[in-house]
Amino acid sequence: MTFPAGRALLALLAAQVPQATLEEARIHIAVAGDTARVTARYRVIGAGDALRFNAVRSPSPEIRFDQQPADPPTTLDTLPGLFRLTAVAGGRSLTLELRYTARGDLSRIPLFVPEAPTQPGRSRIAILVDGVAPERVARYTVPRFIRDPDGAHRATPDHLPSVVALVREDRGLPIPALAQVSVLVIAIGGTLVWLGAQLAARRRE
Amino acid sequence: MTTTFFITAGIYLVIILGISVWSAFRTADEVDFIAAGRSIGPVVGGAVLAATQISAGTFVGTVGRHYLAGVSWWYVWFGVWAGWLVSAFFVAPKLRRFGALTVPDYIAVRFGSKAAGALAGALIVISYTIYLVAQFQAGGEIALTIFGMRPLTAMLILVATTAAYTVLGGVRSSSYIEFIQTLIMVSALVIAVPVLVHYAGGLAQATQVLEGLDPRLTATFYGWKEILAFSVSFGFSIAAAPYEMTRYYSMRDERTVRRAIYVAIGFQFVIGVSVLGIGMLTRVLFPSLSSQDLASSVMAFEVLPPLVGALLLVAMLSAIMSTVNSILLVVGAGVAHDLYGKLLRPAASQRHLVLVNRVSIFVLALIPVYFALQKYGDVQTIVVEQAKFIASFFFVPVVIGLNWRRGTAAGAVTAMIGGFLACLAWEFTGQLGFASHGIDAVEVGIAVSLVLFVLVSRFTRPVPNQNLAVFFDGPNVRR
Repeated sequence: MTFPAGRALLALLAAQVPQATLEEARIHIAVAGDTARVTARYRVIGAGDALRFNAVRSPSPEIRFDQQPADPPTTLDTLPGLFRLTAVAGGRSLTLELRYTARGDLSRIPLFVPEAPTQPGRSRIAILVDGVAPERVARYTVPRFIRDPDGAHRATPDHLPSVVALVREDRGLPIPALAQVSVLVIAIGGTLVWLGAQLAARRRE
Repeated sequence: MTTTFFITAGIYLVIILGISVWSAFRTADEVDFIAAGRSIGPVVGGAVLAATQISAGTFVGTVGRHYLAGVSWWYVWFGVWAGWLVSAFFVAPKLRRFGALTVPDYIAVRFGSKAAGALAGALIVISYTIYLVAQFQAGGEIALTIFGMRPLTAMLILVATTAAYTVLGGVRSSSYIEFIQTLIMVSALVIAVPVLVHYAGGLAQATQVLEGLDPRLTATFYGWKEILAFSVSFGFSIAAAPYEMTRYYSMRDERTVRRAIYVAIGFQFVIGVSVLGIGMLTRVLFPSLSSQDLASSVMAFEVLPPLVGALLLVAMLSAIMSTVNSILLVVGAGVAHDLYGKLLRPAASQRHLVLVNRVSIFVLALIPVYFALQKYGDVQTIVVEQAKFIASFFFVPVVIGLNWRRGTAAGAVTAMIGGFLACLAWEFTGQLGFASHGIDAVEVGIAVSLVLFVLVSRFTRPVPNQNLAVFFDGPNVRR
């Protein structure tokens, strides 16, 4: 049995989905005060003629390239919410190293994400963050980090996120922590309400 | 995270199995098993209807569609709600007043034909096998993403757990379990959205990022023809969905059914808005996933705090289980009550029928596992396909049949067969040119079904008035 309608639609949609695969991404972030120096090395297979890398652009942190990569040649476009780096790939596998500095609010450090998905189990993503004092580490992070004995934080997610949220925010409501607490409140509160309703119904009977 | 998930999932499973065992002691006969003794109220009933309709298609498929296509998929909800309103005003009150156990029961009595009822039962079993494929496939995707578990293992665990609580307590346990499932789903979704907004840097920032990634994400990825086709598929199938209608029978009375539908729409609005946010915000945080079906589980596993993520994963499993459970009840009843009890062994005892129902639930749960392992398409595509079939063969005999006295058995049978075949044929032929003509298989199926129903009914013998009285002669006639 096949679903031609679905397949036709999927074929239509597949045109939007990149065919390249992110084989490896190694990201190193060195934090010092309000500055994070990011070194990101990507290897993409089946990259086509050109491959786009997107990064979230926000007022803070501000991103500056130490040196825009020349091999392969790249162009950088600045859109309202996005940095877009286009690398010439020449139809082959692409290896690209980016070095940039993020300065300001480091609670969300942007990463350039290629328009090439990972293949879980076959792709390797490694993110290493060092220089973050223990008291500056957020309670909940994106992606999920493990703390090394030397104090560095290491994550090996299956998919490359567009931000690293490891450093605690200086101000504002700790939304993830509130969400975590609200689950407990709802679970305990819901159980008590349910039990109360059952007891009331039994009394009425 | 995995430890938190297993603890949360363990607590959840203990609760639902506890309710199932409690219900098993209160299930005395077939009416108790299939219709919960007709005792369900509007709030629990509304939550049940919402949980039944919110499925893997919503948590995996719809989140995935919002991830891929952005906001425009949301307009499909209007078709869903239109379908519910048609059901509330033109279907549910009459069906509840009739008070049958299954939808084929209605077909058999309304049209005075056991053959029409049996045909409806057979078509339901075929269509819902497709729907089960989507649910099992979603369960496999989640298990693979989160635990690296083989999809087959995950599917068998899913079948065993769901079939166990369905078999134990029937609709009574399902109703209370689905009430809890809806609360879990709504809570998890509503809590997850602010966390995602936080990590995405706020709504304004997220919108700018999405517009930068693809301007169509915040505008019209799908054109009006596609949205119309999706809306017709969902709306027309929900207006006549057997697994929803079976739940009407378990409610106290017609007023309760209508109020339950309004409650269900309220729950679905909250779920729909949350799912929209989750899909699009996950695109901001993970813009290059290999499959849109991964969006919800990646988000739950990689972004949300452990307890919230675990709750959302449990909610996804709940959604799959509640839908699988509802479908198993319908197909089990289709085999045991409509085919075995009505055609093969009309003299079978109540205990015998319940036993056949329970055995067929287990057997019918295993068949879709094979198809789910083949991965014919993404989850939402499979859900849309089954919706098209249900709409094509069931909408006309149910909705028009309940509101037009002149419909006959021959008209209903030809409408069901013609609608089903026309939809199927168009899928393999005309659908491939959808981009140019914009005519979808569901529209062809419904149109053919309607024309056949009216034409054949006009030229065949009317159904006796005694069959029609309960549907057309006011609310005093009760069974």
